[in-house]
Amino acid sequence: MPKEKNLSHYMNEAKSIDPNKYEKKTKIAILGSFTLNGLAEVIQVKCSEIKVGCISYVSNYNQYNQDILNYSSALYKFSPTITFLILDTQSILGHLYYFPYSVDVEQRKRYITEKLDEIKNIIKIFTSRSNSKLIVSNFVVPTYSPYGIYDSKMDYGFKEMISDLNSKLVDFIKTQNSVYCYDLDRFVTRHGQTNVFDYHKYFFGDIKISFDYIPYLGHELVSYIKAALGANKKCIVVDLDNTLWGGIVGEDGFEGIKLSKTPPGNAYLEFQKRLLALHKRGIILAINSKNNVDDALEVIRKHPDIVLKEEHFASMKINWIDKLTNMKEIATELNIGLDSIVFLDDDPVNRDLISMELPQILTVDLGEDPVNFASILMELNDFDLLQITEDDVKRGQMYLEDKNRKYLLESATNLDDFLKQLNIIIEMKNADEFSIPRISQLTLKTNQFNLTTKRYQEEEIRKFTNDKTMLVGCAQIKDKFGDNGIAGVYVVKKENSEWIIDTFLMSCRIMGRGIEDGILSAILEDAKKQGAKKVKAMFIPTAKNQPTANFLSDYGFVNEGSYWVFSLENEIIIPPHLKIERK
Amino acid sequence: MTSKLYEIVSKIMNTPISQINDSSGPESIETWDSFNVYILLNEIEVEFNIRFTLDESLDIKNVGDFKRHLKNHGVDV
Repeated sequence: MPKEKNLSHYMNEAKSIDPNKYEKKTKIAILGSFTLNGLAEVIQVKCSEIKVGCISYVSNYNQYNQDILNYSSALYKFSPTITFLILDTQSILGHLYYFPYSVDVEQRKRYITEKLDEIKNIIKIFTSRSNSKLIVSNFVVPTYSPYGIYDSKMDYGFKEMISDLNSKLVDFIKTQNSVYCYDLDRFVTRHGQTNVFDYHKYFFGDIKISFDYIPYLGHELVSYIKAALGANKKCIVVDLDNTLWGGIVGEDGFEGIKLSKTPPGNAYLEFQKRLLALHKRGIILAINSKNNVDDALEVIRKHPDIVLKEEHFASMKINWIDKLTNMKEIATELNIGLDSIVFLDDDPVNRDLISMELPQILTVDLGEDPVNFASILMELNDFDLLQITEDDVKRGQMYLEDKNRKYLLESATNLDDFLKQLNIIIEMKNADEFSIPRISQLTLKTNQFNLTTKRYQEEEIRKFTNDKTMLVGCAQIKDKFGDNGIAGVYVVKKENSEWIIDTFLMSCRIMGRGIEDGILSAILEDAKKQGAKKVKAMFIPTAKNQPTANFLSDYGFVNEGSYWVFSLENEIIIPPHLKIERK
Repeated sequence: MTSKLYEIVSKIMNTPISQINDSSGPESIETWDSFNVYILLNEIEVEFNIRFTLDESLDIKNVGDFKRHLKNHGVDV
């Protein structure tokens, strides 16, 4: 586990941060049943490292109940986007924390049920009053019991009480939208209770979590912010020699490289397995390696112990071209932003080159010892999502299908033929519980083909779907190579005879196939059917949405002030290679 | 060694080292609040590899007190 900097470092850094200078911003609230000073500063600094301006509200010590129950509290005035509620076992158990067996088993059970109901109630009140996401910590299971080793023999014993409370809390939170459970118990287990809880500072200043561990806690909590802002990474680019395997294949040969179930090759094997697990969850993998392509491919295709095979890589740049050029090509080829890439390379020179020239990329120092590669990878909090959708899991497969589409494009004689052969089907669907997470996710992360770049959290999308004057929909794109998943999103405001397009975006992965025209045509047809006279849309330029700049005018929208307008008296043309189905 | 102690105080209290002396405390340093004192205690403990007792912690009111109690732990600053 990489060592964290001291809390004092964060306290000092935080002083010089101006959260307003960043384009992306977040407002976090920290509520706790004990002192959590310093945590907000750690989170602030870590946010500024990823160019997010973080403004924080820290509730007074043990005031979380009042803050949540009082409608006009400073918490609601602050109006956070993410709220952390960190509770501790001692304050929830009160007297029973010291004397668990002063009451009988039935009373212990009743006590836990009551406490659970209290927490549920607090959660429900908060979510009914705030649009904020709520992260609730679970309870740290104590390591000490006055009954010692016999505690586990007791019916509903001290430790079992807390474990039971935790599992019921998780069950409840699973049913609540926008509420997540942070596994504080696991955090403490991982670092060790005797390290994390500092009794010295506790008696002196009621500080429970040792200053040395506040930065580690901040690191874990920042994953929620990254995920909520869509600042998560999508792609891992790896080097080959001394990264995926030990040694240099060009020198040591096919048999000479280290990759095996026995040491030292097992460290590389472990690393590959961890990468594959991320791939299976939807993280795209790519190779950027200086190598003879034949030597490298022989290993990837034929080595008996290889885990990552050709089919797992969406792009392979194995050549003698400099890594910078390769890196840019990978991003272009996969149609992803440089800021969604993580780069793993054992060579400090390569890492320096990439981190100097392409600072948007997260370049990770793997160190020299392959023993640490897997754990360094697992420590990254950059792949977290608040919701893993079916589309995320299928992403690896989708990029493979993309490779096949490219082969078809290369063999087709012209673009029209290629498009016709693809047999594209656009399925238009209104937003529902299944698609809302994906719709929100696309608004948060789509930059290139996006008319207005409005970012919407799930809660906001859900609100729109309950509003009769709003239309929220998505388009799922299929073709002969497979299912592209939900790749288009639109939000429309219906105002009598006018429909106003609030959001129209499309995943850049499917650009260049006329699909945007198809989706827009379908919306226009619906507007006409429902009696609208015209459809208005706006283009808000950003640093990244140049590909959308001429979309409206090319389609036939006419500029009127700040809007682009399409009169529904005009003919609506659906590109002939597209089939539109309404679900 | 004294300079090391002053350096830490200066860093935590965000005050120029030239303004730090043994009598520096809540009266002369604006940022000397209870939380910063906790952090200062922690940093000094880590730096000099000692642990102040609860009584010592409660007794420390200024930079000179840190010096005095560090001496109890065999650290001469």
